[in-house]
Order: sequence, then C-alpha cells, then structure tokens
Amino acid sequence: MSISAKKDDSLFESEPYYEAQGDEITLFEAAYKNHIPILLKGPTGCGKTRFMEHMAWRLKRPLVTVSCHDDLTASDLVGRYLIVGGETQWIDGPLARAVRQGAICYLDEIVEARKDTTVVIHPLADDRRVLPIEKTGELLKADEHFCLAISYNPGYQSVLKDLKQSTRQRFIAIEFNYPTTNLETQIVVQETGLDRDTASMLVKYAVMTRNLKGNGLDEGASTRLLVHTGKLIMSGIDTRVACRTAIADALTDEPDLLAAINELGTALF
Amino acid sequence: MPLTTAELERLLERVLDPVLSSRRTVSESATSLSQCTEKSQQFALQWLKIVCATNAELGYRFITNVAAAMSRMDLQLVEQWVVNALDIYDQSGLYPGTAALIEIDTFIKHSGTHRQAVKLKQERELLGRYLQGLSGRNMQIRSSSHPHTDTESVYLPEVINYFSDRKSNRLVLKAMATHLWGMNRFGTFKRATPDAPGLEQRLSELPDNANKMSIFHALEAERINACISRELPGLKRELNDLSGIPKHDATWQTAIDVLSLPTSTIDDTLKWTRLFLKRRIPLTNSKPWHGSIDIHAAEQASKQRLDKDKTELAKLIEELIQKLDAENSLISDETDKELQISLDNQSEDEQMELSINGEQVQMPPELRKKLEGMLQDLAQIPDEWLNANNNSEESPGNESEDLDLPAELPNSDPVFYYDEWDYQRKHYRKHWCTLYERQIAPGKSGFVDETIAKYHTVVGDLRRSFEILRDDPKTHKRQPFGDDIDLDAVVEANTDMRRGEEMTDRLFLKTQRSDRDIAVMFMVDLSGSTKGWIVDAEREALVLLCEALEVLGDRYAIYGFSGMTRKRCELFTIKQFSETYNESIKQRIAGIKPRDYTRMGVTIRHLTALMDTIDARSRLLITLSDGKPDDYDGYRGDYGIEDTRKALIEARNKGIHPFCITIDRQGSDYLPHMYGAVNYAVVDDVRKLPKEVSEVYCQLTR
Repeated sequence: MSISAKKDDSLFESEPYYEAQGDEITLFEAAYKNHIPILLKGPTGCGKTRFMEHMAWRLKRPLVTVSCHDDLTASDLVGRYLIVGGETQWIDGPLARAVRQGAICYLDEIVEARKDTTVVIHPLADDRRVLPIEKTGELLKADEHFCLAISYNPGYQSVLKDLKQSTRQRFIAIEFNYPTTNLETQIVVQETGLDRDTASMLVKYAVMTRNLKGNGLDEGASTRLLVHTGKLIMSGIDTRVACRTAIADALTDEPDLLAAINELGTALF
Repeated sequence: MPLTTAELERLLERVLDPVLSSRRTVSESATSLSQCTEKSQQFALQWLKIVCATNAELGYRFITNVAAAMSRMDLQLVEQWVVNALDIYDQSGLYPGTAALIEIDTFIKHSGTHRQAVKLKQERELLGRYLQGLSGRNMQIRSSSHPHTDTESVYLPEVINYFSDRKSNRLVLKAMATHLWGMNRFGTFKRATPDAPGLEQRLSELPDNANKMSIFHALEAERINACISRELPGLKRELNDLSGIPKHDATWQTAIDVLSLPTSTIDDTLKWTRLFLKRRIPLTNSKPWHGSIDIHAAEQASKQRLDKDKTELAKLIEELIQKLDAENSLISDETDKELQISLDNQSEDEQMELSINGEQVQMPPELRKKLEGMLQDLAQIPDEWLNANNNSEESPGNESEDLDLPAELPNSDPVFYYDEWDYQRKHYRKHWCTLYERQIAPGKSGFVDETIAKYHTVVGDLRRSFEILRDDPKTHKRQPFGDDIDLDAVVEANTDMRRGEEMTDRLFLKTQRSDRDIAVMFMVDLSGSTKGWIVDAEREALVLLCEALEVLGDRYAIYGFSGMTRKRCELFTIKQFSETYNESIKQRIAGIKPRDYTRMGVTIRHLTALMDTIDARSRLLITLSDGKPDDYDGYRGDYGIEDTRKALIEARNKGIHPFCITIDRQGSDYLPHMYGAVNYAVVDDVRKLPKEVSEVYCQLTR
C-alpha cells in the first residue's frame, strides 16, 4: 500500500489577493492554532473560497478543496482500492490525503453532499482528530498541522439542506457577508484592473440588486459576479452589455424581475 | 360559415338573458352582426362573454355597438376599444363605461394617442421593483393625478401621454418615479435634528408670493435632477436624448448651475427661492417628470416614521448591548455605568461607524439598515436617541387586557388551555389562552372545480413541477440488483477478490424515487382583515395546494385560525393528516370565512402539539398570513410578536421547521425576527398568492 498523494500538492507560492472584512484572519489563525475546525457561513460569491486560499498561503499549508455535490459519498472523501497493474492499491481520497500530510481541507457547500459524508468528518472535528478508514482498518491520526474547514450558505430556503446540530456544534463559525461599498470597490479594481469610478458604479448596481433580495430574487449580485462583469468590460465589451449578461441574466430567469434589474442597469450606465 | 341572424339571436339571448326585456331585445344586434364575417362574429361573441363576466349590462351595450365599431376599426383596435371601456368601468363605474362603448368616434379620434400612451397599471410592478432596488426602503407606488411623494409612497399619474412615442413616455414615467425617489434620497424633506423646523415652516418664513411654492419646487427639482444625474448617469443620458425639453433663461440657468453642485442642499434651494421671490423673477418651464410637491403630507409621514424608528432604534441598540455584554466585549464591567454611544456618519465615504464608550463596534445589519433609513430623514441622529436604553421600559400595551368579554357559551367543541409568553415579565402566563377546536361549515360544492377551471394552466404547471419533485430519480449505488452495473463497485469487488477477500454481491445501480418523508401543516390566517380578496386568494391557494400535494404524496394538514381575546381562540379544522382529500374537505375549503383577530402564539402551540404526534423526517409548519399578530386585548406590537416568536422557538425545539408566507409588504420588517432570516416569503400581490403558495412549497422542499 502506498500513498499516491504528492507532497505539498497545492501550496500557494504567491499571496492570493484577499481584503479582510473584519477580524476573520485573526479568528481563523487562533482556531487553527487550537485545532478547532471552522465553519464559514455566507452567501455565494462573497469570498469564502478566496479566504481559504489566502489563509492556506498565510499558514503555509497546502489546501485541499472539495466542492461537495449531491452524489459525493464518504468513500469519495476517504479513499478506495483500485487495481493498478493487476495489483490492488489503496488510494487516499482528498480528505485522507489532507489528514495525512497536514493540509487544510476545505469542504465547500457541505450541505450538498450525502448525509453519510457529514458523519465521516465528525471524529475529525472534535478533540479525537482521527479519521477511521473502514476499508483498511486504519485509524488515521491527524497530522499536527491538519485543519478542517467547511462552508455553508444559510440563505438556501430548503428544509432538506440544513446543517445538523451535531455537525455544526463541532465548529466555530465565521460569518461572511458582502464587503462594505469601499472595500468591494477596491476588490473589483484589484481583481479586474477597472478604473475606480466604473468599479464603484458596479458595486452600486450590486447593492441595488441586493435590495431586491427576498422579493423574487434569491440572492443579489455577488462580488464574484462583479469581478466577472469587470473582466468583460476590460476586454472591450460595452458596459451595458456586460452588466446585462454577467449580472442581470445571471441572477434570474423571471421576465418581470429581469426587466426591473435591467431598468436599474440602464439608469446607472 | 357565418352564423345567421336567428342563430345569433338565440346565442345572444342566452348570454344576455338577465338584462333583456320585451322592449329590449337583441334582434337588431343579431341582424347587424349577421352581416359580418365569421371571424368578426367569433371575435364579438368571445368578447361578449368576457364583458358579461364583468357586467351583463355592459355586455348588452357592447353587443349593440360592436358591429358599428368593427365596421370602422380593425379587430386589434376594436379590442383596445373594449379593453379601454372595461378599464373605465373598473375605475369609474357603469355609466362612464357604457359611455366609452357608445362614443366610438371619440375613441377613434384618440386612438392614435392611445397606442402611444403608457399606463401606470402596466408598469407598476416593474417600477416597484426598480424603486426597491434604488433604495433599501420599501416604497409603495400609488396613482394620483398630482404626482408627488409623501416619503412612504410615490404617487404617479395613471397615464403618461407627453410624447408622441411610447418609448419616450415610458422614460418619462421612469424618470418621474426616480425623481420622486430622489426627493427622499437627496434630502428635500430632511431636517437637521428632530426638533429643527420643517420645510413647511421654513417656507412660510419666506416673503409671500403667489408663485412661492412653484418657484421653490422648480428650483428644488433642478437640484434633485443634478443629484440623480450624478447617481444615475445612464438615466441622465437617456433623458438628454429626449427632444423638446424646455430650456431655461439666463437667470434660471445661473441658479441651476449653482444648485447642481454636489455640495448644494435644501438650504441652498431655500436661499435661492428667497432671492428669486425678492427679485420677482418669473417662473420657468418645468420638466415633464418633475411632478409636484406635497410638503405637508411628506412631513406628516416622515414625523410618524421617525417616532416609530426612534423606539425601534432603542430596541436594536439594547439588543446590541446585550449581545456585546454576553460576549464580554464591553470594557466596562459595571453594568449600571452609563454607556456613551456615538455615531460617526460625517466621514466623506458615508460609512457609518458606531462606537460605544469610545470603542468602535461592528453594527448588526438590521441596525445599520435602520440607521441608514433614519439618516434619510435626519442629517444627524441625536445622541440621546442612541442612548435611549434607559427609557425603553415603555407602556406595555397589554395591561388594558381582561376586558371581561364573556367566554363563549359552553359548547361541545374540544377545549385546550395554553400558556402565553409575556416578554416584559420574561415568564409564561399560565393557562392564559383558551382554544376551541371548531368545525367549519361546508361551503358550496362547486367551488373547487371552478377554481381548477379558472387556474387550469397554473394547475397544470404546478402538477408538472411537483411531479418532478416526486420523481426526482435517485441512483442508488451498490445495490444487490438493479438496472445497471456499478463500475466503482465492480472494480472494488475485483480488488477485494484479488486480495483474497470476499467479493460483495452489491454490484448494481438502482434508480429509485427518493423517499420523501415530509409532513406539512398549513395554518391559515382567517382574521377579519382577510375579508374580500385575501380570503378568496387563500381559498384558491388551498385548492391549488391540495391538487399539487396530492400529486406529490406528502402528508399534509390544513387548519384555519382566528379568535377574539385570550378567552376565545379558535382553530378550524380544514384537513387533518389522517383525512384524505375528498368532497367534504373541498367543501370545507369553500366554507372558509374571515372571522375576527389573529392570536398566533396559541395556534402555533396547539399545532406544534398536534404535529408532535406525527412521525416524519421533515416536519413543516407553514403560516399563511396577512399581517402581524393582532388581538383585541392588547395582543399586538412587541407583545404579540414576542409571544409568536417564543411559540415558534418552542416548535423549532420540537424539530418542526416553521415558515411564513405573507402578503404584508412590510413583512420583511418583523418576520425575520419571528421566523428567522430566511424562513419567510413575501408575496407582493394578492392575486399571485394562489400560485405562489404552491411554488414556495415546491422551493422549500426541493
């Protein structure tokens, strides 16, 4: 049996750009030091994944990101036997790999995964810090530097996609939201190279769409959408067209709502 | 083949029977219609049915005039002619409605403009969302012949017919809505402090002149225009493209240039007004989207809102302090020490900062939103409002209770007693509410079928989307048998075999319906305020819901609730979990009637108890409501909200997931507090309720 994972497979060499919204960096560092797993809450596209990349760079640990989907099973995380050249060989899953090499493991949108996956992380997420591998009989003890982080979007209005208390009470929770206007403008400028004025108009547009949340719109435009729009504009696409394709059409299919969002767009640009 | 006179006469008589008499027949209409083509006849008969559904008399007038109308206009225009008359009937009644049908000449004369005019009715929804996007504050759109704003609503004209093309007219309507929003946003009615003199008073101090109001409004409108141009450059560009916008003379232009500076405020407008009045400068032409101004209404509304905001602010700050206290992040340990809270909104980027005892704290989003809203009314929030935590022990409102209404005469309905949470005492009032489980008198039996016929397309759509939910096929891996081979499992089994372990037989993929195990309970608000449209919509919503849920197979129960005082809370059983959807349930739905008040807490407690006997993986309690909890004996305001909230927390502790669907546009002000940030949906139009309820449910259990 051999471990196929490369050493330090995703160590960040340069600093991933991240602007702190509050004290999340200090909080994360403190939790990391104390071996406490972390739950990131917040709407889509507000910088959770980027924050993880930044923290991995800061703590000089590799980052293993798993985007959870509804077909993700426990063995997808832990690992499985495969046949290699007529021999059976155990291949670690991303979680086991992270546990072994002391990486930061980030399970994105954990509620999307099958229920059995959340159970796998339970022994890892308390003071035992172990990952039992049923198939090999191994009780994998987490490396000193291993850290578990999961993310979850509480804005989903589905009763079936809720995090169980037994899971959520193992984590400290850091809440994310859209950055303040100035900070968000700064982020858009930095990420896209757009001039400050246009960037601040984009942010203003995003705030307007966020005002519509709850009245037909599930989520307002995220920072990520603004970055997309900014990049389109930088590639020579007309501002109005960029806003329509990257923001309005991306947000909703409902014609009435779409008309209103476009109306706001034409008033702005 | 066109219909003959006799055939037509028979048809018309059948439809118009109630309004016909021996002297009033349809023979003439039938004769003239028989001359028309088959297509025109069909058109007329189809519209006759539509018009008769509104009013039979109007239908009679329609059929007597339609042949003449069709001879002079194409069918598309005739349709406009009927729709126009129906609109007039809806708004002004039968007489003006029939007049519109008779005066075909007038209609034809104006038909050119009819095609270009923009009606508020068609744009209202779009504009509502547009305004909501612009401002966080929820602004209503109403119609009025004098477009103005009272800071709560924006009043727009029914029709805009300023330009000869539709696009420009639409733009004017949008610009007008934006302009009226701008008056609120850019501080036309803003005061420095709550005690500072309002605009009305300040204007009365200026020299008297017949044109005073108009000059002030014209100047202020130009200032607002400039603000909007800076904020919304896209709109400015579109407006600049409009032709025929009046230009100003040199004096006005000077004033406008100064007022257009970003630093100008309402104070500058007043200064210039004084100057203009002194020099007796004549009025200028105002732009078509400026509307008018109603200072009195605006100040009234803004004053009321400020009073409300003041108490809510005190509450939010108190909550913040409690939260900080709990986190121990306040520096002072002595709780009785006076806290100094100050707000800094003077920094140029308009970022507010709140500090307590000199230390900056992070504001919760509700508090930030409230403060931002208040800063539209006031330049500066007085410090004593921020430090109002001492005087929040306000009158309880519920101490006027015990009106000694006689409890309902003894009857055989089952009786239950429930505690109620008193948020001021921070304790339950024991056995405070008496709840009767009552039967609903059956309504007419055809109701359900009529509703289904009315909404047949919607029912079809809902059935389809619910079927998708039901049939959401899940592929189960590693099954002992199934319809495909699970490659992962086969590989794994092979590895096991080679390693000398036992090979599993679970090698197949099986596609199976996901087993939904959901029990849902609907509690429907039957308070007196639902009378009219709302209860109709609720009834229809329940019909559509039952149809859809039957497809889905989720277990469901429906209860209505109302009551009067704590001694007579009533629960009406519409459908229990154990009952199947049958004729008698349909009749109970039809029999739903608005009753008295809304005491929500006790109902939630009772339904929680009922729900607790049901075993399901997900249990939902969905409330259909039209407003805040409210009862005759002081169960309103904070008391009602806090008790309801407590009852919902109790339900949540029992593993029941509460959700609320409301048609109260203000719902998002208090529902997050009661139900949680995401556990509610606001339906902004009653007419959409029937469809929305099912769609929300679909979304909720997806």
